[in-house]
Amino acid sequence: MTIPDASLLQVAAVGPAVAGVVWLGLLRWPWIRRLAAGAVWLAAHAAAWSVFWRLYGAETVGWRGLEPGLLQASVVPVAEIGVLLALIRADALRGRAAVGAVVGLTVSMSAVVVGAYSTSLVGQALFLPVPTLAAAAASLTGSGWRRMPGLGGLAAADLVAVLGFAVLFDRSGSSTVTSAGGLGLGSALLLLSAAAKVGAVPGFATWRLTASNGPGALITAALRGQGVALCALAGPIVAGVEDSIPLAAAAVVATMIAGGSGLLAGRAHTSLTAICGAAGAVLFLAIGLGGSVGLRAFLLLFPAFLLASGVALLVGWPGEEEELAGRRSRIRRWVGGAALGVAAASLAGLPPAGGFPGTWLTFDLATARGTIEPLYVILTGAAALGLVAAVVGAIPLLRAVRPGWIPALVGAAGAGMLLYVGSLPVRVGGGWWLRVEDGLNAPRLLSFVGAPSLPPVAGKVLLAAAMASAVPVGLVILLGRGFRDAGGTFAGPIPRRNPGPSRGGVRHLARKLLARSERLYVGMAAAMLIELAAVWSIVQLVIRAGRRGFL
Amino acid sequence: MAVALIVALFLGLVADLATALVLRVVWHGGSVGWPLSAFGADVRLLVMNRDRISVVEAFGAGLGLLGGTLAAAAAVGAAPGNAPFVYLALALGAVGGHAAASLSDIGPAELRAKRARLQFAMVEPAFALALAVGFIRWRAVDLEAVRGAHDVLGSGMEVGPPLASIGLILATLVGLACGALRLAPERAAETGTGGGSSLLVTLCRWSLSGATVLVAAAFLAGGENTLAAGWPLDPALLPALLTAAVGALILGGVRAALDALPWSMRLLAGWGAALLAAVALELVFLA
Repeated sequence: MTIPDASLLQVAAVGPAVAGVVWLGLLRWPWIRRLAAGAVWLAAHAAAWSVFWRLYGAETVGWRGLEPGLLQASVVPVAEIGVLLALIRADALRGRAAVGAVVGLTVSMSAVVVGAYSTSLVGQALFLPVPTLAAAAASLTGSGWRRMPGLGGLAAADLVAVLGFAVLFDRSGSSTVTSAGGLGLGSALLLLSAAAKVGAVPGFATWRLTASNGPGALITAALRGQGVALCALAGPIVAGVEDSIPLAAAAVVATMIAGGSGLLAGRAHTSLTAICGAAGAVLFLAIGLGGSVGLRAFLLLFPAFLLASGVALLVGWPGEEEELAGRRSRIRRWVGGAALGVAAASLAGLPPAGGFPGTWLTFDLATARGTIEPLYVILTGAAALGLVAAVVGAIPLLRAVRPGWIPALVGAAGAGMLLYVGSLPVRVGGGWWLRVEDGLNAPRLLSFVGAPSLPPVAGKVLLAAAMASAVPVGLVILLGRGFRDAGGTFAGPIPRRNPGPSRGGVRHLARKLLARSERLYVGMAAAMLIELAAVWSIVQLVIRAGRRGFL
Repeated sequence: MAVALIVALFLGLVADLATALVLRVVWHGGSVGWPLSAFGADVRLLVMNRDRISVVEAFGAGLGLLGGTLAAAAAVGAAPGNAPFVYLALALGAVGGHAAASLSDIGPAELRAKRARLQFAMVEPAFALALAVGFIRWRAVDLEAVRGAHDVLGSGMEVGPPLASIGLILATLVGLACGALRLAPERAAETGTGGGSSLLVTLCRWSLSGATVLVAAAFLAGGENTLAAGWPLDPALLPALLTAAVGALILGGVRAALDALPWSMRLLAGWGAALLAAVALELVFLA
């Protein structure tokens, strides 16, 4: 029996939001709500995979304005896994915070699915602000002072993206997504918005939200999914695979700043934000390098990025809890620490984790480009340094993780997937890359064999090295007859003196003004105004599209 | 792979012995054999007192040793030697070592670990630049090509033009100095921080030191692209291994000198190294 396209797309698109509603309806019965909502979520997830497999098998899947390509259909299930990991963490929050985070995440995911599947610029624009509004609502459900960190940036990202859609609409004269054959103003605006949503713009939008204590930080899993979908749309689909030095340079600067932030991090939240931000910026470096190899690097990078950031959020996000050493069982902390270690290695592109093949390919391509344009060599070195700094900044996180049983075990499963993807990238995605590249009409790579050009490191070489390095560690474990417990709180990578009381000066004045403006909700009001401007722009876009027959 | 790791560990031990020797001769501090005696004390503490390691330390050390093994193997030709691969392996070796050294509840050891991490991050641009100069000098992005160039042209210290040779030697010295600043700190220096943790950090430090000098030796003396099973005993590899041993002595000596400097001066030394690496790059480009 074949499920009709309409049902499949409807379940995939609406399913996540329905799961959230079911969870909310059964709020009083924790295990029943988890099982029921989990079942609905899995149905939606299965539908998303089903859409993917049909497109992978060269079928078409369409219903009204929803007619995804293989690339967009690939982003959805991977983003859903990342969101599912965040949902598990959100369910462990207390009271209103859990409600805000779970409902926000599920509704946002539905919006991301509709946006990704939509072939219409207007359809994409209509669902664009949903994750931002969900993040704002979730932030307000947290305990303590009502703050909405990053909302201004997210609202600005929405506005920029709508402007990008408007430019594309005007230039192509059609509301349907079409290839522009190069990086123009429209796709540049969309890429800027995508970077903010992915969390790659330091101190802005998703970056700030991830660094916050409140439940809004968990919505970043959906925002990253939306950012990756926008990046795929603006990059390979609309702009094609032309290279762009400004984009690559901007991505490298973002990586460097993220690395610096990781080194200066005094809180676990900041460290986590920095490593996710640095990894997010590498996606844009791959797009900026362009060509079929750049596209393939992007295809290698984004699943690992979404999965690894989900694992990091699940296991490493400390939330609003007080940082107390040794509060959780040792085994949970060990398993969680190992999972977070793999996720951090994947985000930093270190072998043998999932992000390694994509990062490798990106740097390999940049080095190859460097033989003609030396600037690329400098960019490669700078990006590598940013990633190294970010992963050094993430080292203290390993000690501070205190996940519950379920997050620790699920995180370990996610880490296992990352290791599998990192060790056998060709087996996991070989055919998929070729089909996506064919679908986008990208120039073929190694057309005589049809195989991807991956670095010449055989699995047996990695295995032999891993076995050789495991022997001394195993010996030490055997001689000591087990492990010792070494849990602790987050202590930043850089030694710091305790800040003394502020005695005036510009910084004191700035802090005072900031606190005053927070009490007056100036930032929140400004953010809401920007979001209102984004919504108004969407309405204008719909009206203009309607005049040209969209409705 | 295992042989590459053993060679790297041995060279790392040589570097530590050189550090001890320089400290003894110049600053009259400690015994010449402290690396070995500290290693023995750590093993004793581990076996007799069950001074065990934590999971994070085991994981970090595993990664650190993996990075060191891959870099050492790449340097001698037992693994692919692409420039990004070599750099990533060396970075993994350093990051893993620092992760293994990051856990300590003893104040001075924790402070030392934090300072070493910052030192590593500050010196990394200079190290990456020095490594890049090595590859640029041979117009190659692979150590295999570098070794091939040595086979055809001769030793890297002799092949002209002289400016390029000077640039390469300068870059190698900068790389070794930076290699000394990238290492995880020794744990046995503080009372109560020895045992399994100290042992693993020591192994990470040795493997990274050894891998760094092997990579430096590949730029200066080349090597063999086809390895026999007992390759460390192959006479054709002798020049490269001797160069690596000399490099280990230099790395150890530089580390002793840097250890004698105040911490802030060591950070400045990192930036000075970056400047020298830039000069080396300029020399190679001018040539």
